[in-house]
Amino acid sequence: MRFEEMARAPAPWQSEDAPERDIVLSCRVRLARNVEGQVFPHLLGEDALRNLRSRILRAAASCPSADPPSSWAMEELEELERRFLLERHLVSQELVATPIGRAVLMSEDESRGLMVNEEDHLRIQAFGSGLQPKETLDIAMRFASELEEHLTFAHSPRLGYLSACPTNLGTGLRASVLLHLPGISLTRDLEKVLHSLKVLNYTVRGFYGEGSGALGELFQVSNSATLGLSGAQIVDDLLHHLRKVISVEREARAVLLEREGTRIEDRVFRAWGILNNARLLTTREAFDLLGDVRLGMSFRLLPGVDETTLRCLLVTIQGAHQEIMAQRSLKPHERDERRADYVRRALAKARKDQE
Amino acid sequence: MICQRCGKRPAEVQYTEMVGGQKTMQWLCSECAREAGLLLSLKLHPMAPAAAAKMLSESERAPFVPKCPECGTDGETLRRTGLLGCPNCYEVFRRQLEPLLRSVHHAVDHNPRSERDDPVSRLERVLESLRRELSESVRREEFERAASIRDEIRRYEKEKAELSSPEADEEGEDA
Repeated sequence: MRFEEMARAPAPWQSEDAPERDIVLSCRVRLARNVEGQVFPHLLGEDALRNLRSRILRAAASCPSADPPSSWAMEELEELERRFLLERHLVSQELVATPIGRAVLMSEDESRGLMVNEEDHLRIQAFGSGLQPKETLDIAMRFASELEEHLTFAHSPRLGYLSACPTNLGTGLRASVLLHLPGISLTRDLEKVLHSLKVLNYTVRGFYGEGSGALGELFQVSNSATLGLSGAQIVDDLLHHLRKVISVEREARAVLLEREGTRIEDRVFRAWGILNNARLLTTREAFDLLGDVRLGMSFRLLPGVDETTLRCLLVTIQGAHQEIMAQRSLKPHERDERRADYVRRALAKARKDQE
Repeated sequence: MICQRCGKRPAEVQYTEMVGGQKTMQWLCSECAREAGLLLSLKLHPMAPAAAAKMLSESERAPFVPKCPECGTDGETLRRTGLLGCPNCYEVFRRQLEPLLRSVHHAVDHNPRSERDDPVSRLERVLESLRRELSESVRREEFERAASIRDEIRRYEKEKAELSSPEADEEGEDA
């Protein structure tokens, strides 16, 4: 089966020594582009989508950024493989759900990618570990300008790059950062921080409110404005405001440990106990528990686990990853059982390596 | 409570997002939550066209042009999907899109400035253009339109005040 090797590890671009790695999981930059003289993808018929796809993939194949490129026509992938690429963030839900005439391309280390005929003809993507939005922007911009040597993009002097949805107009640039904010969430400064980001015209996505557990501590922050600013300005501003959030999170974590040390330790060690002993684990529960372990690691409470193992688990416990590794589709309870086994074995190995 | 996305499975998490100053909340099951893309995922703006559609339907003041001659997209489709059909739509629906562009981008054209452009001065420019539009519509005695422009001005003035307030500054501009 394809992707088997990939499924055993996180994307190679993920690295431990990335800046602010204890708070910022990753960042992503996406550029929306459309080919001049064509209607946007949702108005194209199947043949037109396929023709345009060949044209775009030919252009991409000659870009140094995509070297050596792997690309797939979405309809030629099995459903499981499509879900796997979704879990790797290489394709969107839309490409999984409506595969005909669409394609995905990625560089060998998965740090650069391209979705063809998504909402726009091209969605150029770049990924980076930790807080590196500028570096990630550079990678995406380089890929875009290489593509622009072979394709003419729809552009207007007044409005910049033209996108299917007016929310992407101008730069077509969305820079987003995934933050783990347990300190802010648990010390109840959350509303204030979120409100500030909102007022500053950022989009904040996250699960919060009652009962969202550790999931409620992951937030994605991205720019709302894509028009009237340069790409560099968008990313500079984002970085500037995120640094504030990060320093608030660090303070909150320190306060938390000082005032509620026992409660935090309890939470971390409970999670550790379950992960090491459970026989059935849903993705949701595993995510929550791994989030708690992550928090414990930032407080250096758990000597028995290393960042690499944790980072690997956060990716590989997902359903399609487990099924690709099993080389077949699994029933939900089978998946939960394999996941629990997989986590126990990975943690046991990590403990042994540490000794 | 039932998941508001699939309408089948029980809702487990509350998904909240704020786009262009609008806050929307949905109760989702974990399956749909994963699809919505937040379980360690980085899917961007899965609801962007939906948010655009909502904003377009809410701005009443400019009547929609029937159809784009190039691709056939009409105002009704645009309002429903939040998507334009082709590059030419941006000329055809120019007036209709302006309130949305102001709201999402705090700008109506792509004119990146080289100097640092802070959020307050961006809002100030938006307000200036709205005030000009307001006096223009009063002069033409288009009072209904003037009233809705006035509402928009109030909204941006409020945003600007919040940006300049000490509470926002605390985590925001000058912590």
